[in-house]
Amino acid sequence: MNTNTHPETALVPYLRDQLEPDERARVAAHLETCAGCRQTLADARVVLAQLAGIPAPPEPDWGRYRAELRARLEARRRGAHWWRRPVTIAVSTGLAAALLLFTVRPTPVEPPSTASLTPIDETALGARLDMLKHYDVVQRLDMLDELETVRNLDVVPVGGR
Amino acid sequence: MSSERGEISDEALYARVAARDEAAFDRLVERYQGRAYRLAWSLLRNPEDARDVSQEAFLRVYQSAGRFRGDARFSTWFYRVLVNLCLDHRRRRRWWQQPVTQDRDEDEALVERQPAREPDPGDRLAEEETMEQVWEAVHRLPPQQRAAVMLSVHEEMSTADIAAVLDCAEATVRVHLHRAVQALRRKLKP
Repeated sequence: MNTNTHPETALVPYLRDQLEPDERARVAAHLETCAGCRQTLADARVVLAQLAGIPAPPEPDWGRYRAELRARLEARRRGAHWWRRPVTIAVSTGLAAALLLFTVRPTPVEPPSTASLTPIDETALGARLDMLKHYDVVQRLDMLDELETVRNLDVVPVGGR
Repeated sequence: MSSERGEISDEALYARVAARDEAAFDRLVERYQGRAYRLAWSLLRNPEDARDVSQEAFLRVYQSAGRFRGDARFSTWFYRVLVNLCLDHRRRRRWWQQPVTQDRDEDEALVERQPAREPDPGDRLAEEETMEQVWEAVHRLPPQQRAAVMLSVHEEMSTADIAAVLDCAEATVRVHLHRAVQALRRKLKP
């Protein structure tokens, strides 16, 4: 028998009942006379049953799935809007360039003159430390402001009543 | 436009998505998320990749909603996007992620061999081993054959619909299915 006449590629649709009536009738008629195609059909039936028996995958958390999808959509929108705004691009590029220039620009670096500054710093610091050493006295100076008030306490005009 | 059950059709929802109706998009996602994830998982066989690629398919259809022609079915449009993404993903992964993929497959095999709830663990183990063999055989099919088989068996699509998804002739789909079944039979024959 000429193999070109075997409806091999129609056997899966035949099994799945997806052929038009006239083609289905032709395939059925052929199967009655062709042991080879019957065997092929039987093999296909086994394989399709095995494939149908593959269990479904464990389902993800659909709430989380949709939340991720929503976040991706929002991110893509922001990204798309950013790229579509020429003003934003221009401003962003300008800012980036300015920042780059500011960061990379070589600034004249003077050698540290610690020899001349250090004594002055030490003197100022020492003076401050000396004041702090007599902090209790410094604190009492505030009382001088109130001295006049205390003196006048004795001369409150009695006749003022 | 509504279905026989009185629900709004996919195509009507998608038309609303084109007008940036977020609620319509959410409803489409809820309708298709299970099928999308399952198909991506069966083509990629990795949970993370399946989640990533199926979400990407939703993003693509959202972005291209304005270009959808009303005379086509949304499901065909969506599956075409999804299957193309899966096939692209596999092509890219083949170059630089194959060792990782093999590790993942081994991990998945371990996960799938969790303690059985059935009374006879021996039968359960044999069944899982058979499933593992089926998966390995399916995994080795050429991408187009694999996609055709999965769309036919798991999504119960007709050869005409598969042809629309894969963007090829219906006769080509028949050849894909026939060759896939033959190859699987050879590999799975006891």
